Amino acid sequence: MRFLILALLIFTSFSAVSEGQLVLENGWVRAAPPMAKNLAGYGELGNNSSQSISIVSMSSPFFKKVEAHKTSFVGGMMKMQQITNMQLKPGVIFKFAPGGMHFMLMKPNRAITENLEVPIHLTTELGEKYTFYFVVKK
Amino acid sequence: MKKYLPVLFVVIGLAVILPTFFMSSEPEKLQLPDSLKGVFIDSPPMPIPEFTLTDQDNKPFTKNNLRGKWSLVFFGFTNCPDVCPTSMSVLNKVSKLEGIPKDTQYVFVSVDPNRDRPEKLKEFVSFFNEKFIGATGTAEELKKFEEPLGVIYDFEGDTSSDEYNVTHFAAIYIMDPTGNQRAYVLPPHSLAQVGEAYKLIYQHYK
Ligand SMILES: [Cu+2]
Repeated sequence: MRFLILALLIFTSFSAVSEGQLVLENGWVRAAPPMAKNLAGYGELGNNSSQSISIVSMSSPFFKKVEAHKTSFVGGMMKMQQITNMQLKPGVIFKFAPGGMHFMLMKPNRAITENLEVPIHLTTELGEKYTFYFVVKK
Repeated sequence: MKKYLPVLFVVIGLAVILPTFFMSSEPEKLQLPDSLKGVFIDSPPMPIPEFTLTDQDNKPFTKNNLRGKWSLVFFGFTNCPDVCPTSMSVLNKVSKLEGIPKDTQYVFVSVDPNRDRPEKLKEFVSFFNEKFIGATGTAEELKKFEEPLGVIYDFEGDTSSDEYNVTHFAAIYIMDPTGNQRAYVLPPHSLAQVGEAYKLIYQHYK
């Protein structure tokens, strides 16, 4: 019986994954000097499901705070703004890349060294939690 | 014959002076290919006044440090996570290209002197390249350097905390060996754009 429940749990969690699907590809964090207080994470975040997914919060055990930011250039002026309504429509891919969107990782509580895998938790409006890993590289 | 002697002197004089005059004057403005976006050339160079900043080793960094060599200068702040590291790593790649002078100086100027002390600047610049220079200074001295270059910036958030952000003009400046601005390259920066622009500008104006 216990086995059955376990199997059922695994099955449902798998099907949940294939349904409420947020996916992240090529996640990486730009390596920074040891004293850096802010780092940036990049990657392609996609919505593989048939419903819109809203991300309401983000966090990482390695940082005090995580936010989604967008860099913009207006006549050569560099400006960084928080993206507060992170809604991904079905099939949409958000490209987080240098000079565009980034995961702003603030106040590290440990050394963020090259090749380290940084976990980032994303929570959706429906309370689903995802954890993605971002590898630190130059 | 005596009557024509002064005229002859004038002619010989002009023949000697004129070529040197043209040689030392500004060359024709370089036309860059259309594929190179965001690159602006100053013809003649934009003069920069004397200024005194402090470098990453606590030594003075003045306009004299720009004289005699080409320099690529970028303004930013070390707490900047996205744009400044991108431009700094582009500069590191540029420094390894062929066709540019090996003694080019790469200078990061912090517009955030309150947080970016020399030790911090040193850690930041050497992370990208051991030879890179970091400099900053008082608001007054920074202004002398920045104003003619058109570097503007704005502190956002509580500057008494350490969490404020700096919105800033993020061009890379190409300074010629007179220490004046020969060109600037707007962000976002790529190796192809900055490297090619610098190569063409150096070859044309050297
Ligand atoms: Cu940011």
